[in-house]
Amino acid sequence: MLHRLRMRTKMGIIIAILTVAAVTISFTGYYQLRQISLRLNSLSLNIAKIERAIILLRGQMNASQHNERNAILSPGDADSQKYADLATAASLETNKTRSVLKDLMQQYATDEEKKFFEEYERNWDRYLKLQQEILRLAVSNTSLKSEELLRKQSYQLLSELRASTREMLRTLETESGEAFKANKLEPYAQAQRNTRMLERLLLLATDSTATVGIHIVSHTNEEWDGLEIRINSNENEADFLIDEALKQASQQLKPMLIEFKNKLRLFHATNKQVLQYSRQDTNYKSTIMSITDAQIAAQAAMDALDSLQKEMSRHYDEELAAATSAALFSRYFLAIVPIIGIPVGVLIAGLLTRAITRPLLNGVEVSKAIANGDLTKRPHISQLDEVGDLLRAFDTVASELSKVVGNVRTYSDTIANSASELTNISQQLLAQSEEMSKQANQVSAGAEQMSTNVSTMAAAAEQMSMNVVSISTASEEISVNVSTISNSARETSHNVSALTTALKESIRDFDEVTRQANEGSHVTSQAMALSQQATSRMNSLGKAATEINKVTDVIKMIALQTNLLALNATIEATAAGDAGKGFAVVAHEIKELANQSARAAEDITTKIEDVQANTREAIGVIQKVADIITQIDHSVTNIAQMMDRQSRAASVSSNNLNEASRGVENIANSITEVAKGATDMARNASEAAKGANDVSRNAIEAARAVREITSNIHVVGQATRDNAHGAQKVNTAAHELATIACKLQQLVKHYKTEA
Amino acid sequence: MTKSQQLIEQSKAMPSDEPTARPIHVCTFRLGDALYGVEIAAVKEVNILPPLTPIPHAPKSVCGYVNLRGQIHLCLDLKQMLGLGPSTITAQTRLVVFQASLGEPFGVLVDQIGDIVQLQANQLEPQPTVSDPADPSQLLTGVGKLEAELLLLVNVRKILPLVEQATR
Repeated sequence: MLHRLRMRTKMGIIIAILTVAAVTISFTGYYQLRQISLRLNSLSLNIAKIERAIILLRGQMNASQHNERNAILSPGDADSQKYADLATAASLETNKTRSVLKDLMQQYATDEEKKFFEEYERNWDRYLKLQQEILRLAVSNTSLKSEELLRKQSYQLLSELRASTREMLRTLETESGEAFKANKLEPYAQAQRNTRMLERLLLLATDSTATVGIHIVSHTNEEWDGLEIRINSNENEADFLIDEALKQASQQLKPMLIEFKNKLRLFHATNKQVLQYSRQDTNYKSTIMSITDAQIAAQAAMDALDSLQKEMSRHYDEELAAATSAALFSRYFLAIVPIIGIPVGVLIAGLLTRAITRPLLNGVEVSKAIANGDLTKRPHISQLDEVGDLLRAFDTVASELSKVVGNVRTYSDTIANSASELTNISQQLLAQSEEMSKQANQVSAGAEQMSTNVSTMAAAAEQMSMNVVSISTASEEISVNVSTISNSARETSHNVSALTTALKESIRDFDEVTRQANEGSHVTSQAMALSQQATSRMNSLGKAATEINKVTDVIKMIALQTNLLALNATIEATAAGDAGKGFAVVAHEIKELANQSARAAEDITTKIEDVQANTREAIGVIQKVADIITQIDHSVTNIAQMMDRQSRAASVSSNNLNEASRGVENIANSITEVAKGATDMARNASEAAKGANDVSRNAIEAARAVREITSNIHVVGQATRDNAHGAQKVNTAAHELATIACKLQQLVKHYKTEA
Repeated sequence: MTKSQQLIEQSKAMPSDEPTARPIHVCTFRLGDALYGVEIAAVKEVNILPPLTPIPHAPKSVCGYVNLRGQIHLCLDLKQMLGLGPSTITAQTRLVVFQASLGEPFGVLVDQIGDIVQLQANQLEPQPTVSDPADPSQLLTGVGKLEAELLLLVNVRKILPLVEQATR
């Protein structure tokens, strides 16, 4: 992983590790300690606030409950109202404190604490509702009212009823005594009945009063209903009795009864009022409520507050424990991180420095060796970063250079071989052309001799012609001098013999020329083969040069790549600042090397182009030589043909001459038979003249052919000279090629390669 | 006289009218026949021109995208931006890639890459200021005096904003 990164990144990593370590240590230490102090401060402050609020709340709740009890227990309406007001005020106070506590809880409390607080609120709200009801009942005070009404009014009315009843009873007693004295039975009985009715009425009233008293202390509907039925029946009976009494009452009693009836009505009404109050039974209800439901709700609220306090205390203990452990952690952290971080940082920095400097030193050593011409040295590469890239590229350059130098060496050897072979061939060619020249000169000499012979022949033929004409003339003078004719004929015969001899010699010469020409033809075909060999050599040389061109293209490409690489290396090194200075020197060295390689490749290309130009020129020259040789071949064939034709013409001449000789001999034979007639002789003479003319014509033709041959021989001489000149040029080109090959060999000799 | 006082005297004696007394390294290249240069700190690498992918509707100064080892770079025609006409790509053409810290990764075509040269402070002259902000010669920050010829310094930071201006 580390060797894949750029050097700048590596340096950055070291600095980042050290910076992060330092920042982490200081920040963590500072943050943890500050956090601890803040948490402890806020915790104790908040808990103090909440505790204070809870204590206040408890006091207010107690006050509220206390006042409520007082309101229930107070007998007077005014007192009850006062305590009820106090209780309500206390409840309002609790609401205020509760909202304050709620804000505090909302800000600082945990969920558990909030739950307890909600429970408290629920219970307390329930209690407050109950309290309102209790207070309402407590203020109405109906039980006490009914008791008071009973005690004050009902008892009063009852005693009044008793008083009036006693008066009436006294009246009735009087009446009955009077009636008994008067012995009036009817009124007496009436009085007795009324007396019993009155007593019954009084009993009923007393019973009603007692029942009402029981009604007041009863608390259930069943009891109340039973008691009220009894009271109603009492009253109904009382009403019936008093109406009955009124019907039978005496005049004296009647007004008293009416008064009694009115009082009784009032008494009943009062009792009804008392019953009404008693039925409401508020004091009992409120007391019951106060000591049951409300008490439970208040107790639950108190319990919730207790739980809340306990929870807070537990929470406080937890926070304290957390703070202590955080303090411990930061103390260990502050101690341990530098102890581990500093050695690790130092170790990584050392490793990275080693990883950069070692391959660089290796690269410098190898580049020095290569600059000294030793291409066998190779850098050891294990890096994958920029230094590794550079060394790998450098390694590729060195191996390519080594390969190229080897190739150039091989090719230059090939060129040198080709050049020396070419030199051999051109020298052979030169020798051949000299030989040819010699042959041509010999041909020329033969032709010269032939020309002389032909001239001689022509002259002899001329003379013969003349002799024949003389014969012709002489034949007319046959009769004049036969001996003269005989002499002339002998002379003619002699002349013809000389001509024949000349002709034979000429034919021999022709044969000699033909032989020479054939030999020349052989030489030219040999020269042709040699020139073709030279051309193929030249072509292979051209191919080799093209191969070298390809190689130099590769060198140029490598030099270009290396140059770019060195440039980028220089950029990286300069960007690295002072740390990259050594690296920059190596990059510069490599760049120089790349430039040298490019220049060498350029040099080689120029040399190769020279070789190619020379090769092309040599091929052209060889082509020209081949053309000339073809021309020579053609001329020699022409000569051979001419010679053949000449030979045939000479043979024809020879035949004609023989015929002439025979004719002359015939003439000589005929001379002795002059008498045989001049016509015979004339015929023979004209025949001889015809043969002599043929000879003459053939001789002329032979002379023309000989001239032509001579001119052809001249052409051959010229061509041979041209050929010699071309061979000379080939020789020069071959020498030049050899020099270039030598230079190439010297150029690469400087480098030491593995091959 | 103490050593520090000597140093102060020496520094006073030196002609340091430029704010940057330190020599700067410049990567040089040719556009046409003229020599140009950029501060080496801005150069990431120099490369052979990879195959160009033209961008449709792009301004003349944008040659296209190139792929350098998997990362896409914007290729700009600095010659066109400097009003020297469009670049013609030859065997000598190179791609100068700038540091990624300048924003979008991009490079410019140069006709020929030169050497890394070191310019002393006294070899630098500021570019005469031009009032028109759209003038492309605003790309040039200074003139370096080399022995053989003059070197025009290009401000790499202004290349991308200028292209964005052209796009708008």
